[in-house]
Amino acid sequence: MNTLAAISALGSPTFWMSLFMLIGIYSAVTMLLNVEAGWGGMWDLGIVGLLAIGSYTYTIVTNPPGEFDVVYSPGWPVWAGILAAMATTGIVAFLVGLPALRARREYFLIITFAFAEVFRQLAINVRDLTHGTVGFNSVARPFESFFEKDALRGVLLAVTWAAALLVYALTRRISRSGYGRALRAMRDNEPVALSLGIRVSWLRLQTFVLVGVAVGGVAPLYLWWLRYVAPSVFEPQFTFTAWTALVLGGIASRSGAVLGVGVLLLFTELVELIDVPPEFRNVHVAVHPLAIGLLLVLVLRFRPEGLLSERGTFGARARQTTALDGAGAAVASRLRRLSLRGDSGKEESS
Amino acid sequence: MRRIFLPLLAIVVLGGVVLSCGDDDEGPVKLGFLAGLSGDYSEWGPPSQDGAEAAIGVINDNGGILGRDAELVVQDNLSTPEGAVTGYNRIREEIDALGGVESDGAVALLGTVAEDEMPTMCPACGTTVLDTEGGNYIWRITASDTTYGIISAQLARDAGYGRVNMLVQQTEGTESPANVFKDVWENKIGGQIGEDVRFNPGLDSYQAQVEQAFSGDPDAVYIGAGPQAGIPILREYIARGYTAAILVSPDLQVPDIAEVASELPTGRILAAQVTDDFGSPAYAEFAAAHQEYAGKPPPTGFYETNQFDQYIVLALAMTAAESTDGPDVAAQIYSIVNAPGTKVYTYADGVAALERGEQIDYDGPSGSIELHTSTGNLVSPKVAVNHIVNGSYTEREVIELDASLGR
Amino acid sequence: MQHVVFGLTTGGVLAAATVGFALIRQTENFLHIAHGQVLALGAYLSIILITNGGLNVFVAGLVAMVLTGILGVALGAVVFKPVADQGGNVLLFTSIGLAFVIYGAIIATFGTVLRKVPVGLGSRIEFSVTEFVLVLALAAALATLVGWMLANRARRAEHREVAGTWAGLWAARGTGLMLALITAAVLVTFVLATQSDGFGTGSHNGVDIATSELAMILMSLGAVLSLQFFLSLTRMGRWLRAAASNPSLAAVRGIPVRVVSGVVWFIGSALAAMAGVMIAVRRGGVTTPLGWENILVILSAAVLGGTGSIMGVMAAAVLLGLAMDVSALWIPTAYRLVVAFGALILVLLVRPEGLFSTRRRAEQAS
Repeated sequence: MNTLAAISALGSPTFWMSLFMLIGIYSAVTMLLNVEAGWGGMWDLGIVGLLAIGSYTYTIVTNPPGEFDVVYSPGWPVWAGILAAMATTGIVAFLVGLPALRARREYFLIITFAFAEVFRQLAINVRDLTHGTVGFNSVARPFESFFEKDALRGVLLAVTWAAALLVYALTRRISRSGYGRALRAMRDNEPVALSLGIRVSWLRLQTFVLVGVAVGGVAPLYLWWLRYVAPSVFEPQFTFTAWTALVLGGIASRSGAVLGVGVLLLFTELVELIDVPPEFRNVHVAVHPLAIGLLLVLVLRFRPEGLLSERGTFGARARQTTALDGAGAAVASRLRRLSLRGDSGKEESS
Repeated sequence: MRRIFLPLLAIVVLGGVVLSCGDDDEGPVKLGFLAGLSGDYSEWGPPSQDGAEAAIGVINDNGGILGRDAELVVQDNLSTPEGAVTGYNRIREEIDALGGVESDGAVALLGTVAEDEMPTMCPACGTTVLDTEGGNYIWRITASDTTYGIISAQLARDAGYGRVNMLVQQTEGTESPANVFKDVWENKIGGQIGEDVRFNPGLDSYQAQVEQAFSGDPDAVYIGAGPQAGIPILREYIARGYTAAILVSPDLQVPDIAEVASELPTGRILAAQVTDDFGSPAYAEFAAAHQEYAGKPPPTGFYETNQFDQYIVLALAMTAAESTDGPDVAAQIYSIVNAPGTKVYTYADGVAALERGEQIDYDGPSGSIELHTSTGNLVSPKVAVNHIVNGSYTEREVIELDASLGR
Repeated sequence: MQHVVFGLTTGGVLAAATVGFALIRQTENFLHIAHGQVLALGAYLSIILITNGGLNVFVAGLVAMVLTGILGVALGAVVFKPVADQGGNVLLFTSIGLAFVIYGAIIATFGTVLRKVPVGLGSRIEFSVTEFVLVLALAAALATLVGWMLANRARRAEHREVAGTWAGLWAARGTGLMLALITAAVLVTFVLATQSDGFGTGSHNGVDIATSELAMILMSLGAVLSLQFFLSLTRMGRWLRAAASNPSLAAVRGIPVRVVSGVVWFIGSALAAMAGVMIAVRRGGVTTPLGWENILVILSAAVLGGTGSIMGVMAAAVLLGLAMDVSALWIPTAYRLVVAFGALILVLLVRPEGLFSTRRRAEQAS
């Protein structure tokens, strides 16, 4: 009987709308992560930190004055909140990136991870601004006065996917531009990239800030879905989910991020729907981490290029490259090999 | 890319098409149970669910709701706000009312349930946010953290303490009563706060924090923590031989903690907790139902009676409204639980009285359920002082809240 | 004053956990994120052995260490070996995946409820301030003596080929660091002794230490020292260091690299389990996030310790432990993590190879 109850949720439109809104949001973040990590080789384990900065900025500036007991509450309109979130996240990404990007290999991972955790701790402790562990339980949403609630859900779903498409178009543009080729050249062989005149440090910082600004723009979408902001929302789980999706879909592949997110979230959400008798509750709770873990281990082991590979995105282009494409051509042959080496250029070059 | 977006869009559209399947008034009445079955609140999960299942059993044994069976739709919220939102979204379409919610979930869902016109019961959330923001679609049938903070201050005042230190875990559920305590203790009672030590949970030891919290020779230390941090803190307190009294937050009034503290002299730990009305006829029925549906006698201190009461109240409200629609049910809640009306203690009596056309005033095993109609909070939660005797919390006396300490 | 004892205990337990992590990092060349979950697994195994098997905590701990060690060998061979040539990042993400798998397995097997550990903290041994400082000084002298003998013995036993790399510097560094560490601890103690007016209001004014804490400090020290002896005095230890500093050269010279790798996985995982058991006893009760809650600190200690030597990692772990507990005197404990990560970020930026690293020197020399 319980199983039947669970299945009936499958017929509920709000369940699907909510799930697809979440998939859209995660897709956008994961595609951005791909620009940074898949193409730029900057393995960022703190993307949730940027999301937190964007989310808090948006909420603080758009909350109606006086509703929460905080020192700053200007009550800006939604569009201003989005711009503020993008700007602040971009600035923070710049400030974090300036020192963090000097670190290489696993040190960059650790630094970004540590920064994300520091932001979360600050959100807990700077309670005059963030409302402490309680957080904010209402979030300004656009079009609230124009649509009734069910229609609003649909509108927000459409807005989310429009945003995801925008991010997709952006990454598509990047992948075909000299900028994108320089990015991948830098990832694969920094000395060669340098010798080709690519300003590596500037390129890294530029990318990190670009991703920051974009994540700041995605943050409000996440809040429209969650309608709640508190430090516990920004635990590392978000980052790990995005990373698993990226690896699963195919790191450095453009559409892989979307596919990975779709497969991962559909699977874990449907598992959550199954209603189990209490004696199997432990196993049921364990399925989520087990699934994420097994997927990561197995994909890396047996199909390290992911479901859709980098070749799928760049194979055709790589053949078209000419000498004028500079860095892209210099490393074109390397691109055909597995892309997961990350920063291993040093070992390879010796 | 079309390969991916098109199927996704197709599924969204399909989802929309299948939209009207779930809407039927013939099947069972579905009552949601959204609680932390895993994560931080998992200690409370199983006993809470037992209490809820007992209520469903009682309802169905007495003819169900409006002639239909009641069914519990269990959903884990992972003890996180995000989990509560996703969990709620999974079940919101099929359920007729919601229960089981804890503080984090209630705060996160506050706007959503009101918008959905979803009658929501909060059997175990203390959060001070609900002091002012509930009342239309969300009702709290347990004491507020405000009550807990005040009662701790009152206990400290009555014990004649002058200087109290604080040791508080930085989570919403533990900071909320602690901050009320601090406010009342300093501003209403004029007591002194020495050290105020805040810490993050999840550490291997809290020795430095305990040392600091007990420094400066305080008369007592207010400890607000979950069981996981509470155990090492109490072990450290015992091992180092501190003598200051301890005021504990409600989260620490669980069997595991009592067991650890069993070697301390009685009265060293001052605890106050909402208490059940053990003498009421409702409690006997509850205990019997618990035995029958959960296969064991009810524990105490896990909000099990509140979990039970929330569904009885919802079921009675549905009966009175002759409908399971949110607004109709919500409109009946106050008339079911508040005076005037025939005092009823069981679901069967309530239904019978309603069928006779009488107005009823339900009081369950959790005690007198009278709600402020403006905020949906209990008018006078029943609070008792607990002592640890032989390794378990034992109720000593029911105490009255000093009204002059109210905020 | 008392905080030094807390810090030494925290640092000792952290050292046991971090040394295993560092050993794997050194020889397998990746950050083993699942180490925290291995630690948690060891803790859970020992709890089951104590509560259900009725075993003594030491026996249970030993059995848990052996079982976890064997599991570690299996994981190394089945999970990590096949992806070993794909580079550190793939190994790291495989380890993150493995961490989720072990975490899920722990939830499925043991449930999410709190598991109490029926082991007491033991009775207290009380010292006056003078006695405590004397004990520390004595320990410092003893450690110096042992370290000096060790260094001499190791230098003589050293193969010519690997001398001059980090392996060659190992023993000498170890002695120096040990000395620096203990001296630092004593210094901190003196400083605090003059400042501790507001604190130390337990039942007396001196310093006390629970027998369990003493046992933890001594066992960690014993384990790390044994490992150091093992690495510098036995043939397997030399193989291991050779494989760590130059795997291809080691293979060419006929060192059984696979066996060496197995030994590393066994020691690393067993040490994690040992730390897990000690943490379980300190906590008095464990819940499933145990592994996640510990991996960050382990990571920090390992990065601070650098890739130089076991003793360097141990020194970093103890210093971090002391810093975390002693800093409570000046910095609100709410900011403890901000401070810890802030320090980590700073160190990574200023000296990314870690506080005690010889690798850069070795690289420059070569």
